[in-house]
Amino acid sequence: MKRKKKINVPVLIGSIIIGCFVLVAVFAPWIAPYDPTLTSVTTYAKPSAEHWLGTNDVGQDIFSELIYGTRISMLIGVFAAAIVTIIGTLFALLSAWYGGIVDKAVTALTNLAMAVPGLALTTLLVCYLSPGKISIIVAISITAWTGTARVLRSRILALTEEPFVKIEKAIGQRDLVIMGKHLVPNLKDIILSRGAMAVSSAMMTEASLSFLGLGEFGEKSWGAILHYAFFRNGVIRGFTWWYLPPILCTSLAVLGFMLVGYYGQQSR
Amino acid sequence: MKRISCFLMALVILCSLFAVTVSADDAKAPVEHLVIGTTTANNTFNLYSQADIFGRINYVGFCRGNWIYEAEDGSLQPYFLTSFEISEDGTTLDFTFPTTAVWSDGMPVTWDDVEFSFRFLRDTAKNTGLIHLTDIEQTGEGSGRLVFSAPDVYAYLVGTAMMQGVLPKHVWEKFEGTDDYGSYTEPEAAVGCGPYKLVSYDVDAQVSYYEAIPENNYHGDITVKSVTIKTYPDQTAVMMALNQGEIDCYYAYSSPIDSTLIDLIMDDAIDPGKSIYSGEDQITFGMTRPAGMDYNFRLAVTKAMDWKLLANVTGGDYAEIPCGGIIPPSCNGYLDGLPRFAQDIDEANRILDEAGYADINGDGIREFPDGTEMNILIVPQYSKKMDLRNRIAEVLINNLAAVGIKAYVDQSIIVSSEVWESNIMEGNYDIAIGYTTAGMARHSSAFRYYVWSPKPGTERSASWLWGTYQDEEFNATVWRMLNAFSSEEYVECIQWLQQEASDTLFGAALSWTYCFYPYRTDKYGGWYNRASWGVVNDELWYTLYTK
Repeated sequence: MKRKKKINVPVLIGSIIIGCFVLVAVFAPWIAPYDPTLTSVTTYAKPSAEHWLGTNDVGQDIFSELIYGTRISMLIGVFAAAIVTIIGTLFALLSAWYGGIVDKAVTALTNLAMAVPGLALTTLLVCYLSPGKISIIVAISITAWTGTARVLRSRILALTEEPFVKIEKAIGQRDLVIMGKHLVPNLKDIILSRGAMAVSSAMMTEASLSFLGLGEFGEKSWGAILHYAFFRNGVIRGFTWWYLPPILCTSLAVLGFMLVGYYGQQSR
Repeated sequence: MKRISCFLMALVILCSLFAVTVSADDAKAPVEHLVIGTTTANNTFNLYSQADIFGRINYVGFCRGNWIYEAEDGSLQPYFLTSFEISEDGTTLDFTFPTTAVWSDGMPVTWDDVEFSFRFLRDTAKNTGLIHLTDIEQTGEGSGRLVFSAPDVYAYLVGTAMMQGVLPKHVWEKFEGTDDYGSYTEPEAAVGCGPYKLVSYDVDAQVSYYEAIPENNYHGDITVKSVTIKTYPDQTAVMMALNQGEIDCYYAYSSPIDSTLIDLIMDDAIDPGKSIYSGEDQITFGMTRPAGMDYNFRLAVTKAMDWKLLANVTGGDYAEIPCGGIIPPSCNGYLDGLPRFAQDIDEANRILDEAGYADINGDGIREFPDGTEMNILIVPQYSKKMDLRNRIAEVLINNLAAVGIKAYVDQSIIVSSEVWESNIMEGNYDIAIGYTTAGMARHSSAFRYYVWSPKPGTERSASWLWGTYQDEEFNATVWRMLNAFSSEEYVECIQWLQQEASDTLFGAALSWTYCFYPYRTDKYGGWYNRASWGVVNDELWYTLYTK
């Protein structure tokens, strides 16, 4: 008799949330009722059948902005998380495998990077690099790899004591082969979990930077929608249909990735 | 007879009582303490500098004894100069000044200070309005004369004299021949002879305190005994402070409360301080670039623009679509009857088609008549109101796309004021989005930002020469306007310029708006809401009274 595999409910919920956002991002042109850049004289309109989430200060349809915003937020989140995870994994492998001065150097660099307030440094970097998508991805990548590196390093240190790694080492297998064939496959669960959590973190950072006006001109991201809702006085005037949807979307997407990342890691 | 006498006596008593009551009403109580809210920083306290709220509130004769001021009707009024007269040939200014005025450190204001100030402004500060000043002579106790080698007196008075004033020689003489005076931060840098003196300030709390100097009563008795200026992080906070009664009024040079915040007024005692605004948001075409130098392109762009939306974005429900002459009706010399802009997409497409801007490669985007790619560079002015300028740019890009013109904003240009300024100075734009402040609109007008040539006889080095329209007559007329010999010459020039703007479309206003400088009416009376400036103006210190 086959044993039924227990369903991890939080991971399932997280996956569904992520799946929904991915679908929205991919099919944005078909889902959005309007071109999100299309301006009109119908400014500050309340939600209606014509504009489900009303319009902003230049008459753009907020629902369409929100749908297209999914693309930017997801794109930056996933790309930044991928780079962060790759950098973190590489540093962890170098540090734990070679030890000695390399380990000390990587650990010192990690400690240093962790000591600097992440968002402040990211903001400075984006300003220096000039605002835009690439700059945001680069800035997040430079500052957010430390957690992944630290977690993976301790796991790799444990793995190096395992017999299968010791045997490979004893027979003179090349370092790259051991890392690629034995260490990384044994880290994949942690890497995926850390990656998922890195996406949520990157999405939050992107939203914060875009809110501060450090996004690209005219780009429709959730943070950018919030930026204009705040700086064009939508928040103070109580236009909830303008500022609540991007907050909810950001929160929901972050929750989805957190559920997958956190509970995915715990269940193993 | 006795009855008549009694009746007359009673009548006299009644009349006396009435007269006493009326005179009691007339004797208005002074204001002990006025609190002004602003969004401009409370950091710099330098009499010469225009930085921060100290520099900006001195525009309205606060701690600085400005030479003169301009009334709302455009007439020049005495301030520190108690009287002045321009000679018929426009080269000589005879004036008087008060011998009772004192500096805020207690020293008397003397002729030496007056003579020093004009010399300092000409030789050290290199004020362009005074480059033809040849002689500064004392003609008596409390009177003097300025002699110019050209008829510049009127232009100097209307151009800069109302934003300049007498400087204390004992503080500023050490800076003669240097350019360190603008950044001087010692406490004595704030010494002035305006109706108020700086008592103290707290940069951390962003607040400064002032007391009246009764001797410096240039416009009558000073009725406001002390003033506090509080800086708030943004206009929303100002509105909340006003609602709470924390401040009595709002002042920020050329930054009226955004029209979208006016519905935050929650107290009947607050007057929104609405008045017609003389400044405006505007566009400038890059007249030396392939697109901008073609009248048909400029005309098509103005036909493609969604004027109703642009007016709404820039001034909410309180804005109107402008006419072709750029400057609004509230400006001196406004030319009535010029055509008003209106969106007409079909007409824009027809003009572009006929002018040869066709979509050659079938990608839905028009090319230049010679077949090369057309991508219009829009440059919003780098400023505090960047969000608004960026939104205007978004609208323009969208409007141009509707007629097949591709346009973009170069992110690298709008990241810093230095990059933006160097681009604009080099004429590196197809359409620039800019702004004329109320202070500039008063005399220099929006046309200052369209001129390409420098002041005749000077080099092209001024940081505000952003225009690219090189037409000789246009440039000559702008400079003739700025150096006008009389108000008649000024009006003649500015009306010609409006007609030229309407005919050639080298630029256009985006809207004409109303502005808001709200104030509380429950405690004090005698407010005078000066158009474009609000209640904090040159007359406030002498007219406000306690109710």
